[in-house]
Amino acid sequence: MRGRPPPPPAGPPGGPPLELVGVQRRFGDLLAVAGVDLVVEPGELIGLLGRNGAGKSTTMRMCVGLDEPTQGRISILGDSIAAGVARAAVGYCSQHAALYPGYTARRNLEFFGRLYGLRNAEAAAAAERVIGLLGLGPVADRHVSELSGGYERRVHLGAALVHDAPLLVLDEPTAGVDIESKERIANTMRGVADAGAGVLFASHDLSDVERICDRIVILSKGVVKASGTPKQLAGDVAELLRLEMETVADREAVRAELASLHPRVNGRLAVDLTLREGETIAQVLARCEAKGLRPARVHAVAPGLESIFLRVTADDEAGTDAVAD
Amino acid sequence: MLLQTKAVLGHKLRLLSMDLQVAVFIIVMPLVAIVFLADGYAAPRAVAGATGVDQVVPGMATLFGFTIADSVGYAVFREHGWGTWNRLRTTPLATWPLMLGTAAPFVVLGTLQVLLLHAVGYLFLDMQFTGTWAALVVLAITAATTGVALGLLLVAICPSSEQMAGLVSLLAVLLGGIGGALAPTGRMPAALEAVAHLTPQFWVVEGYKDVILGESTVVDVLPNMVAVAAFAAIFFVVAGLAFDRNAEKSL
Repeated sequence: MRGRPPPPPAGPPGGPPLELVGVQRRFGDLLAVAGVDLVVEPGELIGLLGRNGAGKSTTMRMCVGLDEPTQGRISILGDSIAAGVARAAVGYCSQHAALYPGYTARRNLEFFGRLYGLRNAEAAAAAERVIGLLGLGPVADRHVSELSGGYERRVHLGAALVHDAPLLVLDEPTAGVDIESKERIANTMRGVADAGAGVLFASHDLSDVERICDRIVILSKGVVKASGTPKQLAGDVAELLRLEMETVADREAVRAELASLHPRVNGRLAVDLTLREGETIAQVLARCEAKGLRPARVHAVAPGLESIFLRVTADDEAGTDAVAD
Repeated sequence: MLLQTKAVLGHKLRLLSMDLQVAVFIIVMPLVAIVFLADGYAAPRAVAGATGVDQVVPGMATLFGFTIADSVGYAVFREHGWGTWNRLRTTPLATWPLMLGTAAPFVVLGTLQVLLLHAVGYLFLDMQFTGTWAALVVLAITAATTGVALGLLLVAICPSSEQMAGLVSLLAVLLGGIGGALAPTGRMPAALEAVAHLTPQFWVVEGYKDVILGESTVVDVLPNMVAVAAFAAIFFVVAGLAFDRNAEKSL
């Protein structure tokens, strides 16, 4: 092993499923993760959001021992992730499916079960349970190379579930799958959390996150920018103002003139503006007036997760992303 | 840990059994070469009854035996390609059972190749066999282990399987040629003959010839085994030092 640093210290014994304390990860000059503190409690499903390059995948990789923090501590049930006992307590689903294409779905599940110490009969029973849970029955005895992307992702998730881990770390498990598979995966994640496991789930699919997660953590430039339930996050973010214009040209004029309010087209003629902290609707309307913009209608609307996310991560620079994510 | 090691070993054997081209390259190719080349060679040593087949069989077994480095390396690169290498690293599985499970089937395959080629030579091509099969087995195991160690070393230093395959071909032919797998070293220029001792192939092929022509037993081939094992040890140590578990590899 080349230059392997000593394992990070463990947390208190019998700690939460996952605890990150001041975790940093540096790649040369790039500080990909700049100090993340996060606790995943038993039965809690946390959605980890962030633009590409925000440090989500790097954080996930550190949580499962594929990468080591430059600074800080990560513990699983109080043990350092470097310890075998901690690894046994984690079910991991990477961003891209990692399965044996020449094996059937069932054999893949059984093999991964055996890697976590299950005996043959136990692994077979566990695989059967996961097959039922994820609706893999029709394809259980087909080679993974023959499966559709959706089924392949389900098997991939199944390999993380097969040993009944108290912690699941799932990196974009619903990316690129059909609606049925996405629904099945989302419901399974919720069910696993309801059964008592802690689940950390990175995604770009805001609707899934909003629907199933107990808590949302938004990473931006390697730090936690916001954390809480969707309702709590909405409270942290300024109001959303919807302007309905008369023409498309007017709509585009609003986008051009009020760029600082992160205008987003909503339908043919409407534009959503995110008010900055301390900024009132009257002030925004006064700015419109000053620029000759006259909306036909104005609505104050509660911000959805998408608006919250865009606002929280507005400072992120595109382009530095691919390195860290 | 025993359960996991058993699981990995069974898994790797299954993957190997699903990959017929490895067995074709390691076993069928040298068999074909032996059949076609046997009559074209002179006897490697001045032993009564010795013929060209006594050079070709141990020579081809050695030459193709070292290409097992490519097969074991490809097995690791393939895990990277499937994404399962990192997935395995997230399990409680320690590195050593993983490497042992990866290496062991290829040591078995390499040993079987040597035994099969010599058995075919002996039974069907009038190859001499004056020593003991036990000596052949222990030498074959040592040689296969060295080939596997070379494969792991190349995995450690090569970023892609293509680079590794190129290097294995070059090393197998070059070191095999210098080491006497293609022609007896006694017929080479003196300088080259001296260099031959610096290749593992030399000790392997000479050991095989000692077994089939020189009535050698396990004890007799011990010096060859030690020399070959020394190469294996060097390859393993360098592989361990150069191995970066976080390095991304492309298939």
